Amino acid sequence: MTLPSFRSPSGCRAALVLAGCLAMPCHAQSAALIDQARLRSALLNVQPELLGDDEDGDGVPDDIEGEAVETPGDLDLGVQLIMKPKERARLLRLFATTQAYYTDNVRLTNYNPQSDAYLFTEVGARYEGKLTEELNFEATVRQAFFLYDEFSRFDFESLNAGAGISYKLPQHPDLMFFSRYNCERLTTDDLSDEFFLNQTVSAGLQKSWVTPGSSLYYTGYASSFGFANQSAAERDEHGLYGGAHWQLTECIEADLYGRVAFFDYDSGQHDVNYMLVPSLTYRFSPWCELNASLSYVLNQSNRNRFDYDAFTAGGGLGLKVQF
Amino acid sequence: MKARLPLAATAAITLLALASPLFASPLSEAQITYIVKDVRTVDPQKAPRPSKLREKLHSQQSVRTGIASRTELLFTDNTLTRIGANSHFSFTEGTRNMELKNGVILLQVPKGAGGAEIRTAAVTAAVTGTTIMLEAGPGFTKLIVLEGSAWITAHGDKRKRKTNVKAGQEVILPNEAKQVPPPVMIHLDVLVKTSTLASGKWAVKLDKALIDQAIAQQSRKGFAPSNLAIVGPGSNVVQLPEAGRLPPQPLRVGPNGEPIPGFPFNGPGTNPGSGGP
Repeated sequence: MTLPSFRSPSGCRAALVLAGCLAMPCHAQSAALIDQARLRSALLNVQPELLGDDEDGDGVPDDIEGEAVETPGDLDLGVQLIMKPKERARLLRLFATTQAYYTDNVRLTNYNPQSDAYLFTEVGARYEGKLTEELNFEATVRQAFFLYDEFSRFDFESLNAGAGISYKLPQHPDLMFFSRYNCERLTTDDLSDEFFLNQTVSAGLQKSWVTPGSSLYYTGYASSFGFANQSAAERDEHGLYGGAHWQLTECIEADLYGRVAFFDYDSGQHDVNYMLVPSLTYRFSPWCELNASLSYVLNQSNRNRFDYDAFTAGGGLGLKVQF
Repeated sequence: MKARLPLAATAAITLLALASPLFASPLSEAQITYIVKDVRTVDPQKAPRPSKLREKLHSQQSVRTGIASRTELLFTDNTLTRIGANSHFSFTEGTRNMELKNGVILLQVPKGAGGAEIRTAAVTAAVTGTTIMLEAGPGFTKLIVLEGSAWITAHGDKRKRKTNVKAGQEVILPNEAKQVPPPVMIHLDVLVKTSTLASGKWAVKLDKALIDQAIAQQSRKGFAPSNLAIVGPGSNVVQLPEAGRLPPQPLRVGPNGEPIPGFPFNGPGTNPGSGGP
């Protein structure tokens, strides 16, 4: 989750104005000049009929010429309207991440939990853009590799592809509805041996708050419905989540994410899953960052062997390129 | 041997071109080309006296302007300095060094003129073939580059790092700053249209071709107006009701705080992207 970028309705209007200008016939140029004069007058907010006589043309009306007048608004320097990078309508991002983690419960069980370290490597692409001012879409494909240190029999790969849309209420742009389709394929033996295929359809809503100090707080609800090739592992999830993002310095960002979810398995298993993840990111440049995170998961199930908790810590390097 | 001659000539010309700023003529004198209201020449060891039009200034002298006053200086190499209200400006003869003790100036150094170095309490800015605006306020300095670029160094920076500020960028730093903060991009077209120093009535015409180029480039560089602006001097950022919608002009008040008749009061702003009010 990152800070939302500025939304720029004026960008669309500027594009419409530009389109209008391109379509403008030549005989309309004089009208355009008048418009420009009006624009300039308006920019200076000068209404000539309101100004007193100014014979020497110095911009100071003659009736106060020579008076020692306090002028807090002297526009010697003019108005410095701060610019921001234009929001791009379409964005393709390629990313690669490699991270090392330690976990104290590699098998996610309460029976003789074992610790291990693993290497997580991921490459992917994300395409996102705006359909309308309120409607956004994104599509992501990622391939991840999990390589364990001691329990190498647990090594697996994950191919994850999905697409979704989000809708912001025009009157309440901080309130967002979202829906997404996702397909995950888990394999072993160098992508060849598929052992799990799961498709999910999810929907939810999220409310966010941005503070002047570059902080973002959000909370939301999401439900996802799974369709797996192994019915024992097929589950629906219903969860409440919340988080915060703090821009500590220009380069350092901190995040906190928490979730409480109810897992409803086809097999009759019911879990309540708690998750808390604080993380820290140091951004070397727009395309390179270093991150570290902790996570704690507590799972309470109606089947005792699935009661467990797990603590994971790690970090690594992330690279991304945007087009 | 014949082949080497053109090579040597090319190298010599290149060296001369690169070194030309080093041999640029120093600032010797400046002529006052425009005076509005209270402009005074300060001679050493003497009380300030009212400046005269076409008066020539030398390095021992400096220029001060009063409230709602402004003046313009043209150096012999066509370097142009427009000085705003409540300002104190001087230069050092025999060098290309200038100093702004307080107030605001617009400085245009023509291409090939050899550049200039201008000093405030907070920074030293080095420019060559550039148009800048500089404000020396109480406790801070503000630099805006209209075209070209400037290298600035904070006086509090022990490592004397130089920061390049490009066309359309603005930097504000306190006098005690130990380094130059990252510049922000500002809307050049709005700035030029609303600035008395850039667009008011003056005796010497500002060379606006390069500024217009910088404005055109800025519109192509993928920036859009935000809802934040600084109006005139100082560093107070105001939040606009809508991105790009200009703030109302500040109220002009008399000595007792009463509005001055004849000045536009706080009225609705306008959106530069929408073609008028």
